[in-house]
Amino acid sequence: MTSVIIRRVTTSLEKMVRAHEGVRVSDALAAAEANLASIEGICLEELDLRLLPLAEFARDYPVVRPPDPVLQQVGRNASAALTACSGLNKPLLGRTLLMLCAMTDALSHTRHWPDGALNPAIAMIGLLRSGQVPDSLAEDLITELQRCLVQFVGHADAALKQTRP
Amino acid sequence: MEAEANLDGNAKLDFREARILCADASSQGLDILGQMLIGFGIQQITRVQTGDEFKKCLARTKFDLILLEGGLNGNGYELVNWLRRSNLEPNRYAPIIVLSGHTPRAQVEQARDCGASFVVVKPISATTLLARVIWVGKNSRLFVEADAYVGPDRRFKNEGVPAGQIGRRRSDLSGEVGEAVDPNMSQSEIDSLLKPQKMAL
Repeated sequence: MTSVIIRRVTTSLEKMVRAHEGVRVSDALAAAEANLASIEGICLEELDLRLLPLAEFARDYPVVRPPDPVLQQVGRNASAALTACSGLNKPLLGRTLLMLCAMTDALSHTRHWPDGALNPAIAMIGLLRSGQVPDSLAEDLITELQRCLVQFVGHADAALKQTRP
Repeated sequence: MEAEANLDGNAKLDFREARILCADASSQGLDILGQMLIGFGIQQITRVQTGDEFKKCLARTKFDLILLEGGLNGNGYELVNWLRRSNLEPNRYAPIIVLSGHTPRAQVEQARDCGASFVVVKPISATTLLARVIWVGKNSRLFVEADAYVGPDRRFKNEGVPAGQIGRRRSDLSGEVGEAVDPNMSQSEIDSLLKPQKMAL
């Protein structure tokens, strides 16, 4: 028979977040935002450093499927750009980068590769970085990217089913 | 594990004594986290960039909260699993928030089963991070140790014993409805329970 131990654990964190003294939540958030603003330049630099190879990828592999290591590198760059994005208050750019990571992961499981599969997402990321897309349009374009992602995930599912019956 | 950020701006926080462990291979990621945490009033922040440093730190110091990047050491979820099953008390019971970008398919089940208190998806804003820290602090969950899982209770709602099974808890009720123990209620008694009210459309 499986044994299960259940413990009631009290953490010091609980006392800290239920404090009667200390800083107000709104003040803590304002201070955090101000601190983040102080490193905005560094975050932008890191973001651009990671976006550059993505743009190069779109140029170098306009149609054909890249080798797996190249695809993995795209995922790593997108992921690092996503980290930098946390310091920049750019939620739409973050969502698109997250989608690019998911697309890369899905496509790495299948040989399916529609022409320029990742190029729309990479182009969208470039536009969001430069601030050339109004938010409302960006939302619509992200919805379209989401549809591409669903397709890619479908192909990945099918490929995985074949390898693991 | 996604919950809406719903913060009371007037609530108070006292993190002066808090010891936080931040683990991320990226120094950029650590800088961003550090700036947020300093803003929240946290003064004792330990930064590590590798799995080995993470393990050594946990063996030396007691932490009140652990923030771990999901990709650390190639798979940060394994580190959470390691800590939960270790004998490093009290750190093995500490709240752990995993910060994750896209979780690769191969790691999705590990992410679910690793024993983290919360998984937060990047990009992370200060508001989201603070909301999750407060949520984790206030919602102290039972700590479960089983063969297949060690960590905070993952059940967010109790929907009773699954159909066709016998409950294992003392508080579980039987799924079988027994014989009535009281006489049937009259229609007027039922009506009085419903308390219909007049309304205009």
